[in-house]
Amino acid sequence: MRNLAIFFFGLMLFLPSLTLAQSRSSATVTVTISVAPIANIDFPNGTDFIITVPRNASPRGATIQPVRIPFTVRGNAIAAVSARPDVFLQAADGTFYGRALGPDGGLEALGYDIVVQFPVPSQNYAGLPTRGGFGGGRTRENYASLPGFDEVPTETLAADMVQQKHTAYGTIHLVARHG
Amino acid sequence: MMTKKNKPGPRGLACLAALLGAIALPNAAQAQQVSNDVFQTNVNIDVLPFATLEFTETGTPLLYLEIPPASSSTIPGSGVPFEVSGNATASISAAPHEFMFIPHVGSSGAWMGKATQGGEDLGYRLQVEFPDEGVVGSNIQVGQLPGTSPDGTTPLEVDLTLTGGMRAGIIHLIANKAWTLDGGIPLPGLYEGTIILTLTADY
Repeated sequence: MRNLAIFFFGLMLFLPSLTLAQSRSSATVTVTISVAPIANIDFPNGTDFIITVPRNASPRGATIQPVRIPFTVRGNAIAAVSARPDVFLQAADGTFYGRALGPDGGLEALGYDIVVQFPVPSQNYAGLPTRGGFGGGRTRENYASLPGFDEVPTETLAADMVQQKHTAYGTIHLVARHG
Repeated sequence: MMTKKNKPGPRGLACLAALLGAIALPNAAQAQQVSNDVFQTNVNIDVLPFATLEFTETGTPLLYLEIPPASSSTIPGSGVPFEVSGNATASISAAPHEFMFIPHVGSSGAWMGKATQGGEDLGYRLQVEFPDEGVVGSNIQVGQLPGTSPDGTTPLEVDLTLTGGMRAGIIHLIANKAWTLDGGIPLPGLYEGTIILTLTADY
């Protein structure tokens, strides 16, 4: 009987506890990131320029060298580029050009055309599409110049940045002529 | 020769009586008439530690950011706020449901949460503030993804009994358009992911 009693008391001591020492639960939060079409343009050399007119510049003499302004476009969609001067002038023949101020602070001005090429093969691409004259808009797919009939920018040139692997280069040529 | 049997002593008889009393089932035929006696029994009530989490804004909890700008964050004011109620020490951690490794972040890359649009992935970071307001003896605590492994934030523990059984927190999202596998700009669209908050309560 004593052994039976000891057995029962021992059994009561070793019954497992049902008390939980910790509770645990979880919840979820949804994450949504909306990415819009992105196109950023960067001018590694800035946008200021100087057009140098040689002393002997003339329609049949020394020419005025174009100024080249490279730019880089980065984006994730179709990027469209156009350019316009901040100030226009109208030449004697009625054509509208950009107006570059002379060293005298504006007493003299020089008209220039803008030729945009986009995209171009490399970052420092120096090629300039030439034809009999400049202006009049566009004759090639990746080239546009000032229309000349009003104070309006060049036509828009577009490139698919995804196909360009998110980076495309372009060049703005500023072309001035004597006279 | 007769064998003398062992008889139970007084202690043994008392134990046996106690056991028999514990397992005997009363029935009407054996009811005893009791008067002017006090019976006492011990009742044990185990109060388990518990904690519950409730999002304080209506609707499905959503962390939302727009790109551009290049780097976006819901800090300081547009995260998902929540309240934890309970009777013990509550511990909360957060982890993205899916991770991705961005090799060009920092000096040796970083593990981040993964938001997905079709086959395109975009990394994100998160930040948990719990509690998001400090009281004496219980300061503001901030948890972030470690970045060195695909693990959630370090659990943040708060003793809820110090403040009447409730504390508030908030979870934030950080995104950057450069957090893609190749470092390029992500395609336009909605990138989606899920964060799992885990709450435990313990004494």
